[in-house]
Amino acid sequence: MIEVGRVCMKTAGREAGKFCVILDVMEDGYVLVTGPKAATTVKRRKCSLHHVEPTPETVKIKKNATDDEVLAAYKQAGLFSKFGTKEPTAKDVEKAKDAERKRATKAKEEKAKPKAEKKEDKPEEKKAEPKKEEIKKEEKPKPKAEKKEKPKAEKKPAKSAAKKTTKKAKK
Amino acid sequence: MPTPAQRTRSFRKDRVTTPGGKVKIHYSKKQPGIAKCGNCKKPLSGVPRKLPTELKKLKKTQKRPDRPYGGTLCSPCTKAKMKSKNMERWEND
Repeated sequence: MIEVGRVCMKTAGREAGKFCVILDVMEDGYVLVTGPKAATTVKRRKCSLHHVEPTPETVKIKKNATDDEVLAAYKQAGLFSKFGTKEPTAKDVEKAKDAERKRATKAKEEKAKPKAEKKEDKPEEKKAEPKKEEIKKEEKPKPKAEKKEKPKAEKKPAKSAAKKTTKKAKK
Repeated sequence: MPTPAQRTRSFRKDRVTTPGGKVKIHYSKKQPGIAKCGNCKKPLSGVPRKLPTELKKLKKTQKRPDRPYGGTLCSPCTKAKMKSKNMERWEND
């Protein structure tokens, strides 16, 4: 059932219940899929076979066909009426294309820039924090140690002396 | 005495011993139940367990998973439902 040009329904995720077409069958149980986005809101993406349910419909498409070719194939097969959706206008197609371009450019910029910045930022913060802790640690324990030493020295002999006196008195 | 608004069973009563040794009752709203799947009755993940006033402050994406039947059916049940829908759709053709 699963081949290039088979129309499928997605069964998992935000695109569950929407239709798509298989463009390529990869190894390890994965599939390349598009709605296209202008027609059925399914992005062009890699998808697991567990998340796809085949339908009896097929479309004549080459392997790795573009979204425009898929739309033309839909028109020939008359699938829009079967899906219960309208044909996407030229504006819708352009919108979808622009959105994909913007995403691609953003992803490229993010890949290039922030990694270098993050590496520089993180070690500085780490260096700055431990210094404060070290200073605090150095300041705090000294007075505590002094306080602890003094009362212990005073109390212990007093208690022991008191005990001794009571014991002696009992005897 | 509690305030009139607190004199209902929808309030939880916590017994608290004060530093003076007295036992006082503190009133607090009961926690709402866990959201469950409408089909298999298993607890849903991704749906917060909060009072409606607190739920109002959250964003839409923080209240339920972003998928059809999100917040009412669990993910395996939605998958089964989609599969059955697909089968029904093409039976008559």
